[in-house]
Amino acid sequence: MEPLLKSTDLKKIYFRKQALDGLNLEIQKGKITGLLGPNGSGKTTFLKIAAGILKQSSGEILINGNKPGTKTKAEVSYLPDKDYLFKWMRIQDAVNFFKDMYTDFDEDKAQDMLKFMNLDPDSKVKTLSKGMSEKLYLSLVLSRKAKLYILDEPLGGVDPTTREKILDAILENYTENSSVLITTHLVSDIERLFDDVAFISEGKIVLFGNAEELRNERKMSIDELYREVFK
Amino acid sequence: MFKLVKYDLQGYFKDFLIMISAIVILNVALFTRVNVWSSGSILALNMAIGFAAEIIVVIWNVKLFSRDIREDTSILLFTLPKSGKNILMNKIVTALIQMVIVQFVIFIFTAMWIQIFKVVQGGIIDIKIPFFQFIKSVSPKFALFTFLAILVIYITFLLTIYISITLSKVAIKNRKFGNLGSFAIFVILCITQGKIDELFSEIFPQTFKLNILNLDIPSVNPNNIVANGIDINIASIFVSVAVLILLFYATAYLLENKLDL
Repeated sequence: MEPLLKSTDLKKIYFRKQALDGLNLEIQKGKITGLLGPNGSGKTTFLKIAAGILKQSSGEILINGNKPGTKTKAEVSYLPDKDYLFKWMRIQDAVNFFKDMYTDFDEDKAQDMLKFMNLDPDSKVKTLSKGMSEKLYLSLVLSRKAKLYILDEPLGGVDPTTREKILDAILENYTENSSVLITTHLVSDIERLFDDVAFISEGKIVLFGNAEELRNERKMSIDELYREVFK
Repeated sequence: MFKLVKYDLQGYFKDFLIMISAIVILNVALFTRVNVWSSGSILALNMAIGFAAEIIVVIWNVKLFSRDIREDTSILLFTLPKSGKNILMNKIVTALIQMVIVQFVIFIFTAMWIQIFKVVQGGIIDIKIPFFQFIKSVSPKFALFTFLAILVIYITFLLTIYISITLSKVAIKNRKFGNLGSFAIFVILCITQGKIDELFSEIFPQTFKLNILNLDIPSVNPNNIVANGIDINIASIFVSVAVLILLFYATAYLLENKLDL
């Protein structure tokens, strides 16, 4: 089966620092893949390239057979690890913005998710706490019927209860026609979601496999494997 | 096509209200000075208010673009399934709408003051008729040419700033040096545009005459451009339009293919 995302010998050099060093990765349709690695290993760089907001120095990345650009941006729903909405917006403005900009945005689903996340549409974006912001961004991103969801640290800085809500939201809204690529440091919290895992170090994939098979082969959880790989 | 314009304008809605209110309040305050201060002083102050408002709008127009290049909102904008051309066109349209609205308010008050004082004499416009009669007598060709010329000049000015910001973002990662770099690139581009225009105007000196007024209005100065019309260099027009198109496509290309966020 043709992978939804295929990266071949992907390299990215920032001035003197090599962020990606020949990264090869394939993400199959209908799979949730965890991209795991320590700080500075190249996770965010890779996600940004896939989202089309960063250009690789060399190598190739294809999403549904296309290079990142206007076409792939219509198929990729990207959750960055930054507060990227306009500060003047209320939550409802953000929903309207997504509705106007993305043809695959499902407003009803967004309203349901806002209720599920206990978010008031009249709240101002700039007054939201870190956890509430995370919930809002995730509601917006998951309300698109995208082919590929790219989630950069969706659990960063949120409390355990919120984490569970976010994980449930990902599971409930993900379909077999879409794939999810997630990066996280909180491996133990999120590992139940993964179909595949890719361990990244110094800009390269050092271990890739089916999460269940890796657990059985190595007789350890993905979290323990993570500690083993990056000790 | 222009969905982004709505949100960019919405973001400046409060600033707009404050700006328009300030222009209105200051001009109303000037009404209390009629017959206390000279008409010249009142007109000068009205123009100073207009000038200050225009400077603020130019700053908004620049920030409208630079914010979405240098701040985190860039991620929101550049993950949208929109081409560089579309994003740039939206920014230019928003900038023009902001400028036109403020210019309209300034124009209303300035025209009102001129009509009140009937001071359309001296200075550049050397005629002795009320303002609205003067406006009515302007030739449609001249009005259209002036409108298009202002449009081309302002869009070229905006695009020169926008490409300077984009180029510095592409080449310089450090924000502090990036702003300095943008300014340096802007100065170089302005000088280059001036030189190109000068060069083509010298090589192709052909001009055409454009009359300003339809009516014969007695002029104090027989060499006055209002009475005699102005000579327009044809090559200069073509160069101006070509520079605008070039800047637009170059900026759109950089936004779509070279920008790293």
